[in-house]
Amino acid sequence: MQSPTKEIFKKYTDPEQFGRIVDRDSVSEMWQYSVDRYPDTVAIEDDGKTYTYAETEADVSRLRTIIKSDGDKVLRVGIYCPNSYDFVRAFLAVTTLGYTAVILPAQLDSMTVFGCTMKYGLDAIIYHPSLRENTAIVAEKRPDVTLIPSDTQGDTLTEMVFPSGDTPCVIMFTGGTTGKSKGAQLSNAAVMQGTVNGCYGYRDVFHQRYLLILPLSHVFGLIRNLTTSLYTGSTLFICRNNKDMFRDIAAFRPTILVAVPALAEMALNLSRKFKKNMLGDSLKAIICGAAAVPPYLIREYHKEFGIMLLPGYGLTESANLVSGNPEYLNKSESVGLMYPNQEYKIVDGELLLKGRNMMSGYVGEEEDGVYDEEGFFRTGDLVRVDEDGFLYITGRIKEIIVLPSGENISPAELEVKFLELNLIQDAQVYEDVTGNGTHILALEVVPRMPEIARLGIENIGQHLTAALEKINNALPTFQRVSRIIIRDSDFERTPSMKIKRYKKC
Amino acid sequence: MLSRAEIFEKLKEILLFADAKNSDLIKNCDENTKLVTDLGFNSVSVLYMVIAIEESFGIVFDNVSMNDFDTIGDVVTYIEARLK
Repeated sequence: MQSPTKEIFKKYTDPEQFGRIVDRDSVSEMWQYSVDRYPDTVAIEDDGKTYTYAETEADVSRLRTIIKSDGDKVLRVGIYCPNSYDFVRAFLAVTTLGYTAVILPAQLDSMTVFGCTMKYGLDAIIYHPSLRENTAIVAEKRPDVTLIPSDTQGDTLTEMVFPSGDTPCVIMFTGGTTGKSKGAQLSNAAVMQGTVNGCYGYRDVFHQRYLLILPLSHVFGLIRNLTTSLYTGSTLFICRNNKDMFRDIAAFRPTILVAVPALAEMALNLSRKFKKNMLGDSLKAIICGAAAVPPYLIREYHKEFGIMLLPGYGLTESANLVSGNPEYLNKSESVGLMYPNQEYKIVDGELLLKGRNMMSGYVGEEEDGVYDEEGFFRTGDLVRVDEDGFLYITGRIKEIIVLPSGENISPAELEVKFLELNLIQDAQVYEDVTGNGTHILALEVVPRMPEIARLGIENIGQHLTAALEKINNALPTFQRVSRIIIRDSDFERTPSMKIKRYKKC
Repeated sequence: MLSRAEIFEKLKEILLFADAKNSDLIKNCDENTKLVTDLGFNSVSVLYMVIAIEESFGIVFDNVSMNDFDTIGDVVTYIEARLK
């Protein structure tokens, strides 16, 4: 199946602005256009300083002079910087030379950085001075890898290079669909498709004020936050420490925030506690993803502050964005409409993708099982598409429970049903075995205490159990859980804050 | 100037809001209760706690991470020092 054309998003965007959303082949093409068109607009605000598009390009140009190889060799350059103007400058300098930026997250230790020089064949690393110590092993053991402090400036300017769309642009770390860390290589065209996809589905796209709180080493931060901001002639404010987020919001007054659901929920709860909109009166939209977005968050933001909370779906392997939901109120459980220039198919419930935004492969990894025989990437995500073309994530392949009856249960799909209850914070459906050896489906939930307190519910266990049983009894018989447990503490979490799934069978 | 006991009580109220999932544990906590191992705080809970403390007590934290505070008592001590 071919994804819809961009016209399906037309009605959601200001007509004049929609006409300006055009595909670009490379970061260079996009950046040159923005520098020419918005030279005096502030592109980046960081650490008390502002940098216009023209000033940024001048700085980038001087860094290109330092990085550029003597011959025609196309380099792979590591970028080892925390969120900062230096990161942005390094990313633009590398990619607008037609080189490949290998994003090394700032939390990597020295041995891992050294390992990356080997695994990804790095020619150079641009490092932030605060991370200098972690490059010592590279300096000692890999003298052929050029180490460049990120605040280095060349004396002369070096022009951009305009690579073709299929030229590798960036390598980013991903857990992949198997959970093992890999480097996904994205072409210039893929990065630009991801960038443009971030423009669809809402009214005011250009000249926005973005606040960056996500790491730029994550595709959601790099593409949806940084490159879409640069593409749209917007200003990106870099929040250096998330604890200062609300002070930064008060000072900068962003119009768009890109956030994970946990942060959006935190901002909502703090706003309620202190009886003021902590996100400021200028904020129009929260772009929310990287984890399942609870539908109640969408409704509450709309009701309390008139803020659009737009859920979407994407992967590192798809240059961030596969789909986005402009009908966030009517179809709040959906991750939206597929963005243009993709082909997809659903095989045994799993979403498989091909298209301009897809990676060219994992670097230095076997490709067994990554693609099907027609070259479609296996996402590992189970989905369904409704009659209007809206996508719903129903689970992950490896999480599927096969009941003794042979029926397949997707825990995530069931959990969404129970999470519809506003009184539930988190839920986990799993398979368990009773004392007599019978396999059953069980449900554990964490209550949403502020809501329970607000409603003055006293016997929490009884009240919640009754409400959950009502939902349970409305499910098809084979999907019903046989045991409901109300927890008084949170679930155990993975380092990325996802619920650690039980494996009891 | 708030007493240590008053800071503790006000902090408990914030913790309840920051991590309402553990309300029973927080209601019964004392200064020796550990944020991570006893209450299961994660990075978002700590961020939430820090922002709420700044807003409620009118103080500003230095750069902090989860490792800087082991127990609730550590947080009380930090607030106490900042209020002086």
